[in-house]
Amino acid sequence: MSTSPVPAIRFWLLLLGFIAWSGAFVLLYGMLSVGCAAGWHLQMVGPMSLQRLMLVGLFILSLAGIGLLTFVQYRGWKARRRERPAPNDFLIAGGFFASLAALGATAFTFAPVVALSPCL
Amino acid sequence: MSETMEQGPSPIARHKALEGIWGTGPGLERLAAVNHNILGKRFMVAALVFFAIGGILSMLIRAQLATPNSAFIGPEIYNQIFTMHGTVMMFLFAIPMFEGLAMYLLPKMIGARDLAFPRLTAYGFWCYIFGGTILVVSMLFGVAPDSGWFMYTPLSSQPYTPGINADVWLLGVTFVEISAMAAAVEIIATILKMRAPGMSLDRMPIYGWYILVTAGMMLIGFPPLILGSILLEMERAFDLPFFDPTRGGDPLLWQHLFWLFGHPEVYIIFLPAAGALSTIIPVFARHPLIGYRAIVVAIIAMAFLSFGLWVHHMFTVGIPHLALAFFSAASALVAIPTAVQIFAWIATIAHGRPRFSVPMLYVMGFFFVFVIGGLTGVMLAMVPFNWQAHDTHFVVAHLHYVLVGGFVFPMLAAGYYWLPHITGRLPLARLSVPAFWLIFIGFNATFFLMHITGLMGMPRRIATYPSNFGWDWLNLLSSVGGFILTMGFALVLLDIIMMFKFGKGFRRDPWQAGTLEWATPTPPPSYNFAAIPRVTERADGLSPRLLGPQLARGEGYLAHTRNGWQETLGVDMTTGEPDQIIILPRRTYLPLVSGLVTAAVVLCMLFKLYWFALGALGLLVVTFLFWAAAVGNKSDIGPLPAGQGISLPLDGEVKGSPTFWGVVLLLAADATLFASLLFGALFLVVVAPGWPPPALLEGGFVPGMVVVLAAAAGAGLARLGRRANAANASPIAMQLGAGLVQAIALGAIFWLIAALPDPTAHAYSATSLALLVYLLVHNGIAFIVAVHAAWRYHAGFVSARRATDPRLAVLWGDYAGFAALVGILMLLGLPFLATLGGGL
Repeated sequence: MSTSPVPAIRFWLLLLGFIAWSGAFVLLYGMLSVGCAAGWHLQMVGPMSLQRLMLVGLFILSLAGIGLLTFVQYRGWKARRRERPAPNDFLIAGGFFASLAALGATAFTFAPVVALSPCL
Repeated sequence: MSETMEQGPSPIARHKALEGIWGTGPGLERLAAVNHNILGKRFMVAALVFFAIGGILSMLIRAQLATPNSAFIGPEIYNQIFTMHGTVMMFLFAIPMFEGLAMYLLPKMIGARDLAFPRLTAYGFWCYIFGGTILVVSMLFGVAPDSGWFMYTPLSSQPYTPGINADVWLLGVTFVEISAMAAAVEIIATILKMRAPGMSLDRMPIYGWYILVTAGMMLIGFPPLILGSILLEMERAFDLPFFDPTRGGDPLLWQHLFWLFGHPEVYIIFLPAAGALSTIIPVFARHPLIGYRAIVVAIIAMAFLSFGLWVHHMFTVGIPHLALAFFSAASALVAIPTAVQIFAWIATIAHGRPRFSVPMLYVMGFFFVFVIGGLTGVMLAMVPFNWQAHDTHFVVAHLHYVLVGGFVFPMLAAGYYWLPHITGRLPLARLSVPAFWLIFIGFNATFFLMHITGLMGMPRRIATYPSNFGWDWLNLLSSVGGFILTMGFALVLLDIIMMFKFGKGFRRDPWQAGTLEWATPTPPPSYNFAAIPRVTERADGLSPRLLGPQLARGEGYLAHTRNGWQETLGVDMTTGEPDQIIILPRRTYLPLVSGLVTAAVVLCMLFKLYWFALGALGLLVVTFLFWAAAVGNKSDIGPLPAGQGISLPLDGEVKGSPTFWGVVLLLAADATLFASLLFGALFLVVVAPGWPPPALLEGGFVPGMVVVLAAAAGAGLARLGRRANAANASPIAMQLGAGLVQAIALGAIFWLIAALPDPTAHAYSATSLALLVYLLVHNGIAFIVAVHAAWRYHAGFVSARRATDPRLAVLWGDYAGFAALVGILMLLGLPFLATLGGGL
């Protein structure tokens, strides 16, 4: 019986980025519904409605969170690539690219919060 | 302990010894089969029978629509026919077909001798057969479901569908879904824990990745539908108004729950077929698959994105535009990972020296049909176009291009590719080629024209149409195309019969493939491999022709028989290094018995014999306890030789056994159902009309706290029991204590139920009742598992090393505690939220 050179937790690296995207989706869609029901789109906070402020804030938080995750995974991948002999970096590289895709998906999916009418 | 046949005997003697243990006898013993070879084939044959039934229904639809003002079928029968066509094709053909293929192939591809839970495979099969039979037989009695395959409320609610038609769908489909959930759990556990030694995740054949991701999607995707079906059945049976807008419910809740399942379902159907394509194309292109890593990332992205599209089926129901933009963007985005796969396949073909055998014909057909379906999908993802084309025949054309292109064409390719493995004979090709062209031409003739009829405004689901809209000739040609398509399928059937009868035999690996399944004899023996191989490279570039004889000679792991055990290897999830010997249960009638009792529960519900249904449910629990009674050892055994110079412990003596992971996976699915229920409650508070409710729960705090504290104490005592067991002390007192406090929690839940306002008066009370029933079931299970663990210790099946039962008691105790905490918080919070809303 041999010990594992690749911790099982690395399997989750493949999924983390899109798990975060799913969380952002649920949060933004849920808060959009709550805000519309509570009339936050009618309450102004400076130049924008409370609803838009909240949605844009959540959008930026989502981007920042997934961006940070992607950056951390990128650094892990780079460090792994410098090791000699070259280790198996399948899960680490896959995790980085999956998170990068999730970051792109986050930007594309939720960008409409910046401009579209929130409760029409 | 008896041990025989280590390395020494001839391949034939080894085969006979292994077959004696793994094989299934003739006659009635066939009903006791649990072997994946048998059950995989049974799933596929049954799915094909249902496909034929669904096909006949589609012919009736096309006959009806061939001419305007047709009196061939009346609207009532027509409603049943189109509903059953969709239901049969989605639930009884597509999913079971891929499950059957995966059950048959997967253990061989990853180097295992069977799936992780053979009895669960068999139970799932019986649930599928009995559930499917209920649905199909209902047609013979004229009471088949007739509200469309997505059963939208309020049409499917009691006032508008007063017979048992909708009940047949809700109960029958839920019955069938048991098999899908069972398949998801065992496929994931098998892939993660039962690969061949050395098969790290990056060496897994690409088909394994596809099936792993698909099974994960099923685990998360099916519970919302199961919950929705239960709630709608409860509304119909007991007048609990979850979907009734006059009493605080909302029909849109059904649509959300249905499409939370329904859209990922499309990808659940496509991904296994894409897995087959990713396996077949490199073989016929004679070039390794290009972009293995990119494909793995793409299918993970696709799996997640597919859960963010469900509302694109609801673009016309009046959701805020901003929300539509989220779903529209995600719908368009999912085309990217799909395109990654398609370009990888094209690149593989372009870099290789392709040979256009019959499977490749269907691959080419797939490219043509599926790409058209994908493009019309992007069109429908755009909200303004969707509003125009919604509920027209354009959507019918799109969904058939996606599903037939994305599933039936690849499955036909897979059929021609893997049938030689099942039959031991090669296809004849004489009929195969004309059959392909009939199917290809017939399909496009039928469905391409529907894009046009749809754009001309022809709605879906209409039984007939007047002749002055210009739809006549297009419909007639569609119907002619439909009959050509049917002739093509009939020819495929004839071709397969001819293959069985006259196909040429072959020795091994007729296509020069590189995956492990071709290293087994063909047809395969019940145990797959006489010895389990060590994999040292990616498992789609192997040499099965060389490997097969080596394994038959016993050159590998577990090349022996021992104690009449069905042995296979368990491995570390990521590295694939062996860490246990898994003893699988042998043939038994228990899955059939449990399947029959489950059928009794469903039939009692269908015919509104609710007290009998409760009795049958109790009996079902008893049959499951018999399952557990048949496994385990009464003494510690320790590491045993596994071949190749290594010794490994048995699965019952390690922490991460497939059983443990199977329960973890089951709880993940269960948590998804719970999350869907919480979503439903919040959705009604925020969105549904008719809030606040007329009456709220009063005096719920004390019993609520009793539930939470008792469930937490149950979880704690189960943990103390496990700790005592690990220290070689008796855990019985702790486990019986855990059972006792769970019983107290059950009592407090009944107290809360009694305190609820009339649950038929408003969706608030109905939802609160649903939450409490959920807690009742889970604290009830935690009670049974805790007491059962105590009994297992008393009977000698548990020791510090053999600790699976106490570990399962901890898992259930923890989950019941978590559910109690969240459920009671929601229950006590709902009155507060309810008074805010109408909605909110």
